[in-house]
Amino acid sequence: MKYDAIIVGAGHNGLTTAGFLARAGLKTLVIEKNDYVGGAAVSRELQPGWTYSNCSYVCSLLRPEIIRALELPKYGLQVIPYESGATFDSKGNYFNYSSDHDALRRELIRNNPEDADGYERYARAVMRQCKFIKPLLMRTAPDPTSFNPRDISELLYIGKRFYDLGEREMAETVRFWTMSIAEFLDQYIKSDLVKVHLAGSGIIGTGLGPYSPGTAYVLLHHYMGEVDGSIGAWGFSRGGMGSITKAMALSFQDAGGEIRTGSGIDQFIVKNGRVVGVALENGDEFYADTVVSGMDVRRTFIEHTEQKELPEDFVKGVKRYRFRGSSGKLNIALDGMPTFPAAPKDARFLKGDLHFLDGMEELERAYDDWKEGRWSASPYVDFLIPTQIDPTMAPPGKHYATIFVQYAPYELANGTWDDANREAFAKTVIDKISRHSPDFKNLIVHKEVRSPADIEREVGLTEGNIFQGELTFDQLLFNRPVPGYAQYRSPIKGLYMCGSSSHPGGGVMGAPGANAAREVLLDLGKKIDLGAAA
Amino acid sequence: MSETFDAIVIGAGHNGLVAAARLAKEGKRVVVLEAAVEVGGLLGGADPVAAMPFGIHPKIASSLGLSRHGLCYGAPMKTLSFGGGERVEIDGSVARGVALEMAANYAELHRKLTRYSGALAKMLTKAPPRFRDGGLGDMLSMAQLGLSIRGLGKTDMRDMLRIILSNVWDLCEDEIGDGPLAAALAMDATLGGAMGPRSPGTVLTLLYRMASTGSGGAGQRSNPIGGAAAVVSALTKAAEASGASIRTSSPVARVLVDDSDRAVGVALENGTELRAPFILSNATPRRTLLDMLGAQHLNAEDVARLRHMATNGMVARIDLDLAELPEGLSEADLGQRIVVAQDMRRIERAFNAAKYGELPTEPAVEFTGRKTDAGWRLAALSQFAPCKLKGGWTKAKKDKLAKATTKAMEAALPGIGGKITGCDVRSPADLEATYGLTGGHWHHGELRIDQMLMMRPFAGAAQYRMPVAGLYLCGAGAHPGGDISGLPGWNAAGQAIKDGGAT
Repeated sequence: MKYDAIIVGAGHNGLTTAGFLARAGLKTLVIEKNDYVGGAAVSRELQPGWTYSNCSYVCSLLRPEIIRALELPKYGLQVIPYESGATFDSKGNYFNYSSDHDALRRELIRNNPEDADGYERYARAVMRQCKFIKPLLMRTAPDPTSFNPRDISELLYIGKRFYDLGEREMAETVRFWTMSIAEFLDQYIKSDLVKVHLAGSGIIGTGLGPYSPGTAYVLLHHYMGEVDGSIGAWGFSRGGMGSITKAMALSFQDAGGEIRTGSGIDQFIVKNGRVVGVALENGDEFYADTVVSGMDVRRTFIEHTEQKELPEDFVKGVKRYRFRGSSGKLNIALDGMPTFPAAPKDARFLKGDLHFLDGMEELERAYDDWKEGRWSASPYVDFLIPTQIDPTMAPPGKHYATIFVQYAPYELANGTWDDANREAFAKTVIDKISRHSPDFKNLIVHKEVRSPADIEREVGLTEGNIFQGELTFDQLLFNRPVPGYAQYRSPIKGLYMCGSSSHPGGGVMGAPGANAAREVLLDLGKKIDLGAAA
Repeated sequence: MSETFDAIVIGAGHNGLVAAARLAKEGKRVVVLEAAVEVGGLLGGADPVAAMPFGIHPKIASSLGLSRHGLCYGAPMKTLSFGGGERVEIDGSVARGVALEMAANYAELHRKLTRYSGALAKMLTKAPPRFRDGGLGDMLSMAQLGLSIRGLGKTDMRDMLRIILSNVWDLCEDEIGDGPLAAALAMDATLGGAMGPRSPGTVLTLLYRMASTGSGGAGQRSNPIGGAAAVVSALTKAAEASGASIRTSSPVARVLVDDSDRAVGVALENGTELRAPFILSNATPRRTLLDMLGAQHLNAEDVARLRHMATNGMVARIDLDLAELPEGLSEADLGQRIVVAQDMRRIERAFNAAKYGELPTEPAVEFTGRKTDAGWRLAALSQFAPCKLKGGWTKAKKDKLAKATTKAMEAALPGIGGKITGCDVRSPADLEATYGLTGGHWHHGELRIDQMLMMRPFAGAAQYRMPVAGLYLCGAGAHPGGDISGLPGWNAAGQAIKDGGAT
């Protein structure tokens, strides 16, 4: 059967591209290997009565332009912000982050009187960087080696924005993009607890420690989102993260798009250097002159493309591209709400993200474990119980806990990710939480444990990297995923990339998907309003 | 009545001497004030801290006629890198003692790195351009950097822009694989700094080191005949021949500032005051600006910048006396750069401990050596040994580091441990105390992108001019930073001359 465009992979980026293409009038097919859509933005019922956000679990980065253009609220998307969070230390103290300015100020002063002002300066510095980077997200990164007028004009655009920052801020920007999150925070914050609370965003999903240069940028990557126009805020998607992709799928189908689940791609069909369609694992073949891959760059070009169709340099670049999964995940069905003795009774911050750390050194040591092929003995956890805000995810009175864990290696130095190791990993995490919540362990009804190897197997993210590749400078902007191929096009005519392996990278953002759609439509001579904020 | 000069240089380290020589050559009346009893800074003394003083920039050597003053370099140095039983010899682009394929890959990597560092090399011999608000010259400098990177051609330019901020670990893993060869590159990329091979930014430090040695970024290095003393003596003679006077045992207490906030002279610790319209300091940025000038002359932001400048020194200098050389190490070898690190993984592990202010169980070592009356003396650098050691640097800690260092050397050079007859450790804390090196940091501050070029030592003070008029920084805390190139001193003097107009 012949389509105008085929999208491989029904993750949030694939569905975003598909949505835009269908709205531009293309007859579009999405194929998905799993029996359900969503990729890493899924809600699944693995324990009767409970809905898990199995992979990604909180929402902020999804570009508002995309939400509007694809009319996602109309198709059921609802994001509920949570307003606070906390980090507990082992001595019974805690730091309660809050989006309420006055409450936050009081709390900062309680931890260290100097930090109230320091935090203001910190927040301003991060906000300035957010403002600088945001317009770049929904644009195609220019190739600095190119003399193409569009590349030159885009370079000038970035250059001008940079120049307009003023001399002082230009230096600050270069420093921010290259320094470590630990040093960045040292400039503003005194309290170890406050520092380590804020530092978490600098290492999530990344094979770097808080002392590593480049982690301040990773923090930015987690701050540049917004919920309802509130920059840096995070929220839950009602019904779990699957509601996002469900809304995208409905929006796409309403625009005439077609989705086929249950069989993944075997091979991109290439004739005379041009893609003509896809052959599925079940033997079906579908044809189109435009094929867009939402899979990561390694799966797309090494596993599902004939190597003879690709230039050697490109293949080398793809093989060199770094994944190095570093995150694990626990999803837990709870019989009731666990208690945290260190927190005041009915503390509102229990509704937000909870962490358990004493200081930066603990976080860095967690990274050292990962480097040696072990999961962290004292890991960073991002622990949330969304059912306090979104009761649809568990039976009445029961709760669901999502626990993101940093660091867990893709390959273990001693052994493989078998059941015993998965169980031992879960025990490390649960024991750590239990030190702060003694009744937590006994409330567990069911748990799902996901190592990077599991994430790779189920979602298809190579080596379990949640961003489809590391967010280090050698893999950002015009370097992502491979220098010279950072504009969503591949060496094969008609074959495009729309996954997070492309600029601006991972997180449930949708920007790579939207940007890829723009490039496809540009090549087809169609123009489309992506609702770009820039 | 205080003495008056055209320029005062604080500190007679190699950069101070280079600055003084250049100023004197321009006809300025220059005095160099050195706190210690002898000149040379890290190059001074019988067993100088910087035992491998390769690299006074060729442009400086020829302008100052250093060869006339007795400075000449030996044959290009090789690097010998020892693994467990392996011996890898690196001679420019040629690697011996590794598999043929690895040698070929290394040759290609060396070619690339040499080209990339060549593109950066032009930036080293002049004041870094300001981001904006500079003059036409600054814009031309920027354009020149852009053009020299463009000039690499599309393939190499793309490759350079990809790797430039990444880490030496990934680079070596991609191109040559881990082992003693990669360890030698990783040592070059991390020596003196607080970064491990896996730290992003270490490719840049490697390129930078290559760019600042040899001419045009060739990365070739040769030790001077006569060692560090020859460098110090040639620089001293060059400065004095042009009329500069050097006063030792003259520690500067503070920089004198007049009512219009201009530096006008210095006061020595003994109370003597000397005056000059140009003061160039070879001391570290923090000592210069916070101790000698005083925070009251700076704005709050600059003070914060200085306080947060990364200056955590992590190298200890260890002198080892050997009765005789172990098997596998010849007299000829001792004139080379010898690396004992085995592989990148071990260097990274050594860095792990140092991050937390602890000593590594297996430090990475780089050494050279010379013959003495009693046998041999090895000048070793052991990393990572943090200046800010938990519990402070005690005799016991030094012994512990010495033991770990010799143990690590024994593993790669069996038999060497038993031949050691004496050992003297100088910790980064000692270097701070002896030479006034802030944080015991060799390069007067970490060489990282956020402390390089127009941001060294901090943005707004990166063209050698410090926040008060008349005060200049001419040490490694200024662009282009550490190693024994003399470039900060040369460039700073150039800036002062420019600001002072023609004599």
